[in-house]
Amino acid sequence: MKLDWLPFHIETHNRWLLMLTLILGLLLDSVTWPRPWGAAVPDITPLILLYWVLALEKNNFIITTFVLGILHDALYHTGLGTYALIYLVLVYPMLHLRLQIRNKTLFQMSLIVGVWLSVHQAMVWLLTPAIHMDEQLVYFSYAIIVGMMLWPSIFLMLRALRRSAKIR
Amino acid sequence: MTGPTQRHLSSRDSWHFLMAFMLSVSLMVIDEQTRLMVQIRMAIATTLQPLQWIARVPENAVVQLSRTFTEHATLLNEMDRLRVQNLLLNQQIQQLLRLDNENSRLKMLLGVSSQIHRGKLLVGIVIDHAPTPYRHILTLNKGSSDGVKEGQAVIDAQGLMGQVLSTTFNQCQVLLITDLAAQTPVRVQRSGVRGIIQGDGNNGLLLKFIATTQDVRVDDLIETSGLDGQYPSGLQVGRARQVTNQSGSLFWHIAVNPVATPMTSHEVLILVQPNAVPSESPAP
Repeated sequence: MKLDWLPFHIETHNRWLLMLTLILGLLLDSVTWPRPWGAAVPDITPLILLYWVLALEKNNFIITTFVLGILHDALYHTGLGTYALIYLVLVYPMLHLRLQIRNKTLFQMSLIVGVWLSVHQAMVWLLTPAIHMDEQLVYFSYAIIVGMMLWPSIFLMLRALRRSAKIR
Repeated sequence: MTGPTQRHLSSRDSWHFLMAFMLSVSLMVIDEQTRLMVQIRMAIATTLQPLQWIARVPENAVVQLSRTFTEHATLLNEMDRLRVQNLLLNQQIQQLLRLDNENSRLKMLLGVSSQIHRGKLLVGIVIDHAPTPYRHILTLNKGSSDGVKEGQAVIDAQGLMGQVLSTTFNQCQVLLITDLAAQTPVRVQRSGVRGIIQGDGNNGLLLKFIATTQDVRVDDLIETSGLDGQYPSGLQVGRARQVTNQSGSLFWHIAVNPVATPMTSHEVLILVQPNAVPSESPAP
């Protein structure tokens, strides 16, 4: 679909599906798992966001990232702007590196995702101290490993979606 | 736009990033330091409410299903138990009314103006809870149009639950005393020792700043002291579960069980005007 009437240049190639996956991610993250091991379930939203950042190299996703972070903050009662900041800081280096990362194998990508998620968990731990004070750091860091194991399935699922819906 | 398929970051992208980064940081600072963002946050949260309902559908379905299969006999038993309890409570209310009158009479005799204030109460129904285990926040079906304001105390049949955090036209959010961010000035009912109750984020409370020289025991009743002007004095908060003295500390480490049951209470009371209508001339 080409939106010619807009004052700026924009083409939507089933982009609403992309937004839908991100919102689904936010909803998935709202499932409350029993404590304490529930803290080992990683956030799905950043992983979905990462896939799209890697897959659609024409876009810089800065505004999407920012809005997604603000939505996250409003939904989960974290300080407004906190997750926006976390997501921005995570996405920006990926914009620089995505052309290299795209060519890696799934296993290599999982390792990169592990490093990436460690930064995510560390920033969440540091920037939202009030709500994670009583969590156990052990379970919190397990989330990185679980996230690495989830990455291939998320990657393959979203790739299948992207190819069948021709999201560009 | 530059190259057709592959391109590296342009300075425009970095500029976007920088702007968004600064915006997030300033939002964080403003949100931390002021209360300007409360309305914006509530507006976003209200807009996203349908999404949250969708997310709750599986959870709610399970709850509904288990309710449907609750045995008939259990319900009958429950009804019998409640009838008995109702009788006992009615009896107790009669006694309390008598004591209340007697108290007023004695106070009049002593020449002390009555401190008993009859506030306006509002019954609120819990319609939502924060979608995260980290925050203890409830949403009630009463808002600014009903006279609810920020800071008003919310109680249930057992005791203090929390205070109103923010309001919209027809809803309000309640920060429970068990939230990590909540602090309540209290006193021990038996000895009158004052301290601060803090939520432990795990449905329990911690009573802080009571020196080891002070008198606190397990099972002591903790009530609000009313010192902050936020809560009326004398609302039950909890019972001391464990009183320990960690070596080297000047203060007791006191774990407290809250008496209110915010996780199961459905109807709650909002103290809309805790001290608005003082009864200057108590009934004889």
